[in-house]
Amino acid sequence: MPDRRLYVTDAIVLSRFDFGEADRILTLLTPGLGKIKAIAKGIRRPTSRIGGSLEPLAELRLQLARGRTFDVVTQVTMQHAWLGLRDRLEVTATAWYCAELVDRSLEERHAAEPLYLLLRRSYELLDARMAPGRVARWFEMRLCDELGVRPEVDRCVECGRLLEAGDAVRWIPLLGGVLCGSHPGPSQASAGLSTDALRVLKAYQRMDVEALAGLRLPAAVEVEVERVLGEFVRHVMERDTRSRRFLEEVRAGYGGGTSAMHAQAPAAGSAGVAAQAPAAGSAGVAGPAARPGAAS
Amino acid sequence: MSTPLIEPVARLIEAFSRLPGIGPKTAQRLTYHLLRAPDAEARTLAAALVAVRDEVVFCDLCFNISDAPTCPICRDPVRDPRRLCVVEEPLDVLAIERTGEWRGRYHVLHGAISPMDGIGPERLRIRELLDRALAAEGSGEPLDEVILATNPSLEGDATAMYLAERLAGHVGSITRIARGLPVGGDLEYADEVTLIRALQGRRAVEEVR
Ligand SMILES: [Zn+2]
Ligand SMILES: [Zn+2]
Repeated sequence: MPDRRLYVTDAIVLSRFDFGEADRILTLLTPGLGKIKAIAKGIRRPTSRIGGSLEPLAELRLQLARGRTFDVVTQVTMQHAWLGLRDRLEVTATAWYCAELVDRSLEERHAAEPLYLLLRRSYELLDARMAPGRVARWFEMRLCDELGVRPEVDRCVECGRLLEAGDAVRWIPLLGGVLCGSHPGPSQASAGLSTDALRVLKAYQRMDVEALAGLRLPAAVEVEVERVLGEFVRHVMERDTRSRRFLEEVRAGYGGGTSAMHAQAPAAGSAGVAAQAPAAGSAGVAGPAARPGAAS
Repeated sequence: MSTPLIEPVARLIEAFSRLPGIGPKTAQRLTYHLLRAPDAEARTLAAALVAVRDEVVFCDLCFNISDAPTCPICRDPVRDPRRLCVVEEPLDVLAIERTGEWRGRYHVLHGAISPMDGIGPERLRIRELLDRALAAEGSGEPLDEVILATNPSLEGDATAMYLAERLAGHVGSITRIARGLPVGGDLEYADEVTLIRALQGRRAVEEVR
């Protein structure tokens, strides 16, 4: 007779900590049950037969037995190992960041299939070597969407007026998006949002991820979008994410961080905006560029 | 419910149950064992506990546990000071020392990078490792080799990558311990990541003498 305490689910390990002599407690993201805690007994012994495959940054299929405090992992098979997430530190750090955001967004045992699919897709993209910054921004925007707090980038959050190209707008995460110039509020200096950055934010809401991967964006715009979306996510999460700090440190160390990106900007693609922006153009948001890696 | 525990007994049970690997049941058992044990046994344990806190320090150079400002390995003139093996924990030093294969010295990080747990590089002895490498470089005798022997886990790998980036150009060679299947293990039961890593790290048979 089948054991009714047993069930099978796909899962991504979000985090884990050692428990007792050789056990480990896992926080799992599953499509059907949302976030759950489970225990893997004896996993830290070299002879454990579930061993290293219970690591984060992989999609697993688990058999679990319902338990009193925690469900118990009884079998593991690997669905997708995504080893590309482990070979470059910036990619690993980005994957950690995405996992922490999902972890922070969910209560335990609330169905979360959209977030599961979102995290899995972002890992696939990182594994396929899409620029980690692009994946992170896309992930942040989609996550806000799924949480019902999609940033408003088309209309003023105060008066509802449809914004036009060239309008001076401010970025106010507290109010949920962009604010037009006819309201009091923080100064343009502290909360200004460039026309180019606004366009890129719209692109992140409207374009599919394959097209986003190919965008050619000036480094300065990419940095601005990273900053403003980061502010928005921090507001939504109500605090800093620890893995974001690490991600920023890693990127700075790579010479891929803010300062180095400014230094490289002229070669990379600022020509795109400088030439096109005055013509109410596209900030290079027009379409996929010839070099997919141009903005990494 | 039952009669409340006498204060000192409750306190000891509570203290034991905070230790890793000890649940409430074991904590009770240990406590009652000590209550029944000869006076000397309990006092020896108490003295050992105090001594481990008072007399054991971390080595100023490698951060391994030590009974003096510099540990026996760092004091040993036979151990090659230009080769460092970087590990996560003092227990890892013991494990490698048991092999008798390593004639260089160590650097103990006291953990691995794990941002989701709030452990960034600044929480580990990474700054000190970089300082050691830079000091050696500055003295005109740069480190010949740094072996990154952090655990073959996601966090251990990330820590190794982080160190490799920061050390590059300042030391002779940077190597990562090989990963593979446990000796005596069964291929059939190896997880996929271990198998892939083992395949990636394969060697020509002639090399294995
Ligand atoms: Zn308005
Ligand atoms: Zn030492």
